[in-house]
Amino acid sequence: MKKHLCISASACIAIFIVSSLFIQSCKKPDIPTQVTVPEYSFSSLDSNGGNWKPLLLTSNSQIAVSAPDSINSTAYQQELASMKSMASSLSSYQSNSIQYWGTNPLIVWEEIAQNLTAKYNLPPQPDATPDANGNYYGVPSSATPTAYPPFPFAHPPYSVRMSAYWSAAEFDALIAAWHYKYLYNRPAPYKTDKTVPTALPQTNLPSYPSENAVIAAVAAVILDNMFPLDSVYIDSKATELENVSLWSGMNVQSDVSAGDALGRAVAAVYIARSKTDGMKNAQPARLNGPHVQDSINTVAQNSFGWQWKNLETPQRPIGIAPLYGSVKPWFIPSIAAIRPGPPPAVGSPAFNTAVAELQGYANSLTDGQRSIALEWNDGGGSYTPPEHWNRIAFTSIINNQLNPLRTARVFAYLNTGMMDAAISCWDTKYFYDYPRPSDAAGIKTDIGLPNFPSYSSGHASFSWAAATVLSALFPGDAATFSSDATDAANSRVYARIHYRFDCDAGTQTGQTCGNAAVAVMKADGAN
Amino acid sequence: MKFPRIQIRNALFCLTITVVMMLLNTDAHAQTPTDDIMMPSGQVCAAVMYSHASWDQYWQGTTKLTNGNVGTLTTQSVSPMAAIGIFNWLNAYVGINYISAQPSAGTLAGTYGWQDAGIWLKYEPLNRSFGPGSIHGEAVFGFTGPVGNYAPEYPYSLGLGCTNTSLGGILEYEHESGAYVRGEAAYNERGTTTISEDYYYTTQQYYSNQVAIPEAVNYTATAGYRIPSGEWYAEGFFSGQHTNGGFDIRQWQAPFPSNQMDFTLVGADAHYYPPMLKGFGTLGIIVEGSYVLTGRNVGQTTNLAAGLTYQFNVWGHRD
Repeated sequence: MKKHLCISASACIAIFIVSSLFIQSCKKPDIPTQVTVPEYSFSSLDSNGGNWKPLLLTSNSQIAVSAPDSINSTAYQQELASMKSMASSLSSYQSNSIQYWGTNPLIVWEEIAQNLTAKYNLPPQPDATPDANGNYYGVPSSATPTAYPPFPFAHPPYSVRMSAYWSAAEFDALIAAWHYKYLYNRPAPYKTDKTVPTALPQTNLPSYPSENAVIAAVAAVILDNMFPLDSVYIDSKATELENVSLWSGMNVQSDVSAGDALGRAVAAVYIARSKTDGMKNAQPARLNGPHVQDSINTVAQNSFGWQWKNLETPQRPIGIAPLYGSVKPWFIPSIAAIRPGPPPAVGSPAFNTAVAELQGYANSLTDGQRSIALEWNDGGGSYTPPEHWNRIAFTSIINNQLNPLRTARVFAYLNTGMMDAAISCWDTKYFYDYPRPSDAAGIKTDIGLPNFPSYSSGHASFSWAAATVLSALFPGDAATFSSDATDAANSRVYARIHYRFDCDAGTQTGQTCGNAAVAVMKADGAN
Repeated sequence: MKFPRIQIRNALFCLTITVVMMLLNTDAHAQTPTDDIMMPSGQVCAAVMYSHASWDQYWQGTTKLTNGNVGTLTTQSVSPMAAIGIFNWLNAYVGINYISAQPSAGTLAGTYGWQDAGIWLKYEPLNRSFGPGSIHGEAVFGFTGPVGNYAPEYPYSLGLGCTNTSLGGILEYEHESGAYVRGEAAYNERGTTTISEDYYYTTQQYYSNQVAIPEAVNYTATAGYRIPSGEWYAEGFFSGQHTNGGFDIRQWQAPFPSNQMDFTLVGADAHYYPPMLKGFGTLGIIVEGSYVLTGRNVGQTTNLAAGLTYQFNVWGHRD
């Protein structure tokens, strides 16, 4: 047998080369955890913004904000000096925070809302053994948020409602802020004192009350309510944003305090609405006998000859939020009046045509179709379709260099429009209680099957409401929004969790709800 | 029928095949051609392996669960591969996997298709007698990557969807009686996987469709016996993998390519060379079985595999 030298020189060289190739490939890529918002100057300051019509406040002066001290007062001069000294010696944490919040903190807050949604969007895991009622599944409770499953289960009806309340409250609060800014006309500190170091772009926007403080306070109140287990984190981000206003030279303390108080008061008006909007009853507590899903199923069986059932093992006895259809909408006078007609009977020719389309996709899905199915899944563990649409809006907001008030208007009508579409969709789903293709036709799927009835499609509803509102706001981008909404609706058919007629019906009601939001938006004085 | 000793050692190269098949799987037994046998220059070994793996329990993080929406997941694969003796001290290997993954329950469709392909180079700097036997040492450098366009984020995904660059070492002591022990370890640097979604949440959010896959080390300890005539050998092994990073499968969610996947397993395999086709090359039959003992974010897989190897001379040295 040949005897090789233990390690030859050439072996050493070879091993060294290979190892260095290795170490080079060890560099891990930097995967972004935030959408980059480039610093931009506002296309307009909307000095008339205080006169726009709020969504819920009775007027822009419903919440009182008292007049600020004069800029010549001792009190102001002391605040100015204190802020200047902070702004002159920033730590790296402070500089990084200013960068992080940037020129449009509403986008950053929407990302925080997206990430909290993804964190809490987890369907409850079954218990190892069933309870006395034979049920394996708990239900989150706001009364005991830390008990398993933790509160909330941030599914799409929950997340769109969270975004609607947050963004509408921001909009109303900023309308009020703009009203008081131009009423009191207190110049920014860097206008009064040119030696104030500013780390964000200077504008002619009056500084009292601070819009950043308004934004922070509204976000803290609404998001604490929606994600109570993360309130420490949320409050710390709000405090950080308010401090950023000082560190960046934009505001003095009294600007921030007044903005904070205004934001909290407006948010309280929205919280009061949220307590009586019907969401409390939308999801029954853990089963203790006959429940609403039973009666929904019985009525559907008697009226239509079909009923929906959950197909998981163990079976979930109730769908998600069966009474969400009774939650109070923003713009639609009667949800029942816009409810679509019934889907085709199971086994009818129209049903068979729809099933044949799905079987076609089951047999051969193109790579492009599968990509769309997965890209638009936005299912368990994700930030949900409504937040996907908020993210789509970022690009148009940034490209149009919108100021915070106009940005808030975009989010407010986008999310309230989507929420109305969600209410209508959920009303439709549990009114018709229609079985999924996997149930009625044995079709296998490419994504997980959500725990609610088939007709109509939530994705189609949210997406077409969103595309309608965003197209009215950004007509130049309308083609992109329509294309995205078409993909979103198609994704459910490619993945075979919906029939085509589910998506057609959702498209119709989505557009109806979007148009209702647009009608109010066009009359609010902003254009 | 007696084979000359050197021929045995050449033919035994095809032991490699038993694990090449698994090299390309995420639940891999090991990530390198993992034996100490070198093919002499001019010899080629072609092989195909079929494996059948299944689990009905898996680990969600460190919690072992069954999932009624999956039932039993059965993964079958067919792996053609080849090894080429370039020089007596340098061998090259190529392999590819075709996989089918089917659940027994739930509404999600199963998947099938081409998975990954790989190429390895094995270099033997150490080969000498040592006491009543001999000692061998090899270094293996490998590269695998996806060739099928499978969706890596799909719950029954065929693979991780990323490249895997590996560097490993093998050390074996073989006693003149035919008994042997072997240890091996490899470091695997993974690339980046592209998914269809452009947002995902692990323990935090990522606004991207790129997923950084953490690196992993794997190791195997083997003890076996080769009959002096060379007609067969049998061995038992203990193997493990540790992934350096990644996150645990979230509550009741599907696995994801950047999960922290760890496991230990035990197994055994045997290779038999029926005395036929003398002069045309050497035919072999392999059987292998393994069972996962402990795991994290993997299935508790039972795997059975069988395959055929055929070694023949292409140029130069004749056996």
